[in-house]
Amino acid sequence: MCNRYQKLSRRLVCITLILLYCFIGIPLWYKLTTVYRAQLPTQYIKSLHENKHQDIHMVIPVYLNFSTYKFPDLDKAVQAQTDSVISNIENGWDVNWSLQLQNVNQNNLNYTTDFYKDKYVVQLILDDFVGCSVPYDGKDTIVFYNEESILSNDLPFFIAQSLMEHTFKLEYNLLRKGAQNGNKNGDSNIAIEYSPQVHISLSVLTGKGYPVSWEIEDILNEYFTPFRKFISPVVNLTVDTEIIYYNDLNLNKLHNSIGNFTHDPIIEDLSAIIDLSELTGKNNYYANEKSVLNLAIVFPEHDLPHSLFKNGSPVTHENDTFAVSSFLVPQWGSLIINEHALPSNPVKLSKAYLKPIIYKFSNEIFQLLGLSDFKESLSTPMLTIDSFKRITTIYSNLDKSVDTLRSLVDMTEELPQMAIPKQVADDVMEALDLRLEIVGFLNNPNDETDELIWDIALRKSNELVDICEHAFFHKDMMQQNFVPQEHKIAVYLPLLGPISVVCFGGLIKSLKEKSLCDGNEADSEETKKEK
Amino acid sequence: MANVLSMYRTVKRLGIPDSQIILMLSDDVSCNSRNLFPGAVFNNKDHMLDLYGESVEVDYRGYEVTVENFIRLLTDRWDEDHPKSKRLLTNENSNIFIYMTGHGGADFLKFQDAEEIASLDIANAFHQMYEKKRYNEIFFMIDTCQANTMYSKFYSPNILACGSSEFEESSYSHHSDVELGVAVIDRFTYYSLEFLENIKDKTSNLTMKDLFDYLTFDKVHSHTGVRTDLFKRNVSDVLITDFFGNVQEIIPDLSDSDGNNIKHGINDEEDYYIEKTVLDLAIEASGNSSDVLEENKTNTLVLKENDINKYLHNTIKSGHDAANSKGEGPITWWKTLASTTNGVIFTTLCFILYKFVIVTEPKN
Repeated sequence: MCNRYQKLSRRLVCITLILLYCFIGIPLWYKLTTVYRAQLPTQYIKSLHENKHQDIHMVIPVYLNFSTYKFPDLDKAVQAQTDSVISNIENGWDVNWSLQLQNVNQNNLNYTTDFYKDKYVVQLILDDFVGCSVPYDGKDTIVFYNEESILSNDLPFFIAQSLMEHTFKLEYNLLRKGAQNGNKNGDSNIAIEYSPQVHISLSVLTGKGYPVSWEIEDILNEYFTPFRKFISPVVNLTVDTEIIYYNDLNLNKLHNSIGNFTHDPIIEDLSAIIDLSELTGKNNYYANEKSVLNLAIVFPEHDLPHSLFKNGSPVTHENDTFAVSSFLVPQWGSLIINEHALPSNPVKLSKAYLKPIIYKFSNEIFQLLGLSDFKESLSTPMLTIDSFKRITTIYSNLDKSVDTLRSLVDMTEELPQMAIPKQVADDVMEALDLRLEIVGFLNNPNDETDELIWDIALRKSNELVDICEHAFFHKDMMQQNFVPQEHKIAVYLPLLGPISVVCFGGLIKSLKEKSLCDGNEADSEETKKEK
Repeated sequence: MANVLSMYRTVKRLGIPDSQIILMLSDDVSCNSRNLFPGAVFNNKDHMLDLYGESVEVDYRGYEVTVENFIRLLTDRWDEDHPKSKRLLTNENSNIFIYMTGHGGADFLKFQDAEEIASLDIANAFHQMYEKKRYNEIFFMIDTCQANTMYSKFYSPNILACGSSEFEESSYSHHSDVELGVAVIDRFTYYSLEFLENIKDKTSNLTMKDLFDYLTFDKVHSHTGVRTDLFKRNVSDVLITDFFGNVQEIIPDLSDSDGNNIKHGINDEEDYYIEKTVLDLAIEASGNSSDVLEENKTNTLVLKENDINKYLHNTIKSGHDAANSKGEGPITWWKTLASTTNGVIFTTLCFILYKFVIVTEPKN
């Protein structure tokens, strides 16, 4: 017998389940199984990439200091000259930049105050001749002028020329259009890619296993620590030292090489004989440093032929003069090979022996970092380092960051199944904000800060690179971690199949129940009539 | 596994250090209870060379060898604490050689009998590498059934690919070791190695074309394939050592065939002199200047009248006049002067190509 109330409630349950299935279950399932793709500012990044320096107009303040004569409008005259030179440069500039000339007393600050300590100052000195001098230990530009140059109104031009062609030669050469197609980082084949953290590994390799020690601590404290501090605004150097004992360095092979090569057998064979990779491999343990430079001082197991060292540098050690040959290994470091083997009795390598090596290695670090390519400016290392900061900020860091963001955008567009976590979108937004902040520093360097503005710009641009790299290499951006869209139905069919069968089967049965029930009632009435 | 270890030994012999090799091995053979020679792996029935004997540094083994880890390796998407030695730290100057072997089929290669990598997965990973400038050139080599399908989906530039067999074609083993009861090496790999054995040192002039020509149907018993349309260079110009060897450039100090005083390419005495002062300046700046070489203290680049007179009247005036009259300021005089005092030319330019080799062998 059919209960109308039961029938109705059963049907209601079925319809409710179907509605839940269709309007909540399916959208929920679709939502939960869809790869999350956060929104990225795609158009902005693309436009930024197309014109990377669109919002950069670097301004470098320069102060004029004069004592003999007063030139109240000299800054304006020099400004006009430099602006003229900058605006009329052939092919234009890749990065807009300009000098901002001011007289020293304009700020009512005495030249002797700390304000001008790290500033670019042009010292004007009356003399019998016209010339220019740039001290190697400062940022001043000394311009000598005579009265004739004042009468002929040549002085502003002299100053402008001195600044453009000497003090800011690096920018002048590298920021022009076309110059960036060459090597911005100098000879990039020798130099490592710029990194704010570089580890220096100093090693002594002995081929015979005889005991040896070295006064490396004194040398480092006396020479290398000042060097590290000096270069710290550009790169933070960390150092470790070690002595490695070998049974056999195989340097005897060099004996056999003589006569087999037309020239420099030591160079031809050296890379095969000395396993540089062994030292490099060790450096893999320095996980935090992206870049590692090495200095390896090698003592052979037996004395090497003197002919191999015909061009080597004589070195004195404990009343004995012998030769060493040194080699620069691009992007690796410096290799020093000694002519003589170590004696069997314990030897201590003295400061006198190590000092020239450290001097030479310090110079090579400049080359390996990409600084000493600008040799015309190395007469003034302070200026070079400052310019290097600006060039690195723009070309190595800002440009690289924009490239990374563009790669991220392109990649996510080309791989529509790739997830874009929210963290990535946050990183991108943070990077873009930070970029604008850095550009602000470059464009308006007059903000009063205790720190040199270029140092801040470089430091923040290093952070920018890290943020962009973090966004690009986010570990959840793995396409393989997620089920491809086209396979979704197939993957979930074992779950969805039984649920669908039960739901729709139940609904159909419920709908059929009405007719079945009606039929049963009619049958029972006919039976009653027959009775 | 012998395929991979043989290739690993060959590239090491040609100078690629372990630090630049990522080796992924199922690593279930040497200590397998069915191995009659525990701890040893051979690629020839004569058992002359134990491939597993010494100096094998396996970076990923056993259950670490997964599709996900392989893709992470290529795209460098790891946790921050992932060791550097297990990461592919390449850049836009790096040449990468990738060798894969195992059981495969049309557009897939099995990993650990549990999962498989599709050709499109590798293609997409390569594209991500390309987007981030993580390689200069890739040489992709694969030895599996229907191997050529595995590189058919590649679409990123500068990839050279080579496979052992065509679509719907099997790859075959070279010979069986009766003692071990298994085939020890595959034909494609065997003859590749046979060719590479001809390279005795890193100065070899053999090219990729020579290698491809060597892998004939008579030897391999399947149709090897080469894909060059994504590769810029002609394969006949690509040296084997561009991918299989490592030639480390070394620049000598203070040596020159002409006897000039060259310091790493700096042949100007003044520059050498100037460079020496950098450390001195650092010491001075730190306040410890007692030991600074006295002669360097005078190093100030001063250009005075005697030096510039000959330029002054000719170039300054003309430049100045031009600047005043036309608004143009040709800067020539300092430049001219600089060019006479600085003959800084790098005579030895060397292009470093870091070779990274990924050798993977999913479980057979």
